[in-house]
Amino acid sequence: MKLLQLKHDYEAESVRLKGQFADPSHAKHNIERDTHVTAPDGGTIAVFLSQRIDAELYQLAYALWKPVKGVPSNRATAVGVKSLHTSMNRYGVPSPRTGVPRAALDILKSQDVGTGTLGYSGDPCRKTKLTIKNPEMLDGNRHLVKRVNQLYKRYLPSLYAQQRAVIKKAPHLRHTAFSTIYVAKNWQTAYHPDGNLPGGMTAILCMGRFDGGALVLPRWRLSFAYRPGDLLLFDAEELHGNLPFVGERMSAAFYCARSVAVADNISRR
Amino acid sequence: MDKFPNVRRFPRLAPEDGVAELTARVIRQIYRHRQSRIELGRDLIQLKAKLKARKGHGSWETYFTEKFGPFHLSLRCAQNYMKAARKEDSKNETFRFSKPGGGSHAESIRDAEKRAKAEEAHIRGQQKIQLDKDFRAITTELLKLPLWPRVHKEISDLLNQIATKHGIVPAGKEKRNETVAA
Repeated sequence: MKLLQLKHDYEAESVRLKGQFADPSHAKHNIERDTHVTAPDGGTIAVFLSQRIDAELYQLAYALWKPVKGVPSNRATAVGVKSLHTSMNRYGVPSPRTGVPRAALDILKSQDVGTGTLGYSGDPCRKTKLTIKNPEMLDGNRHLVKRVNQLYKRYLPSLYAQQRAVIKKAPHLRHTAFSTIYVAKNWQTAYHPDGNLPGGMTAILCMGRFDGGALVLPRWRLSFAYRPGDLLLFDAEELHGNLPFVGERMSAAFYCARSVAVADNISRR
Repeated sequence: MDKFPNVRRFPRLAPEDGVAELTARVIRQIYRHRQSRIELGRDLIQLKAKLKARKGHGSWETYFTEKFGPFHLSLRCAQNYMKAARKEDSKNETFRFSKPGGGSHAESIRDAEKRAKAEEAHIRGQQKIQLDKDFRAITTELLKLPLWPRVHKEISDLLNQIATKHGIVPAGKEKRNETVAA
């Protein structure tokens, strides 16, 4: 495995890109093969594992997760828009609820964008509606979940052990360090951070037939051109977004939700 | 007991003899040492500038030898730290992400956002009574008057007149404003 030790941190510059779309010029290093990327202080930024997931596993996942059709109405930054008031009464007083404007959601729907959360999520933390309604989406992908967990444990053992120690006290996907799987279909996200367990890693993989769609981390000027069968472990609390793609693409992020890790916040269902 | 029959096998990892851990620790220490040298360089730059402002040109070397000489920090060494700090700062300053990403999706989302913002502004602008700075000042002054309840009634009468004139309220059926005028 190649070791890439980065020398520069572009945190201050990258913060301004929040909510903007990724551009190939934002990345200096394009990673396509097995690489362990470390920060100037020696901490792990990402681990890219090429062709480690068996085709049968991700093809089955693609088939099982294809029906997801939720729209990311509460993820304005990831959609690439400002959060606006969702409605207004006849006197022009805006509703206190804010979210992604309807016009942007219509565009996402027209592009067949669909998202879904499997496992445990929310505040208080509980099993998601999608999991209750479609248990096969999780149960059918048991082997894939185990495989992703196995790779995380193998390549980042100390971080895995920390995450596992935290998650053990809370609801989680059985025998893994993950609580939640976020599935996104045909969605090119703008730069956004995710609210995952601080210090924990997110495992991301993609499925489908497509060109493009690399994941860019502007803080480190990195892009990961990951294909079906590849696995990327990175800290999703840092800004990340996708480059444009053509074709049918689905990505799945395995992570430990921040709310899940708060032991007082558990409501089992 | 093979749970993943079709999954590729990997070579065994090297034995846990602590070499990797120690290497990571050494890298961390090197980085910290480098960072502390840069920090020291930044402070020296500031100190030099302040001395120049206070005592004028030529006082730096004497001051340096007097204060830091006993700590075995040579002037050449300090100059190197200052150089490294300047280099680091200039490096951080020069880089800018040139442009946000393009593509049809990005364009259409940006258009949608613009439309939604314009729509919201339009509705707000249409529905609200806009008071400029002078009128807001007048309203504040009126509220302070001891005769405010009477003024309040006058405003209500005036609104009734306007509503009747534009056919919103039929004549003789004027509304009474029940809100307490405070």
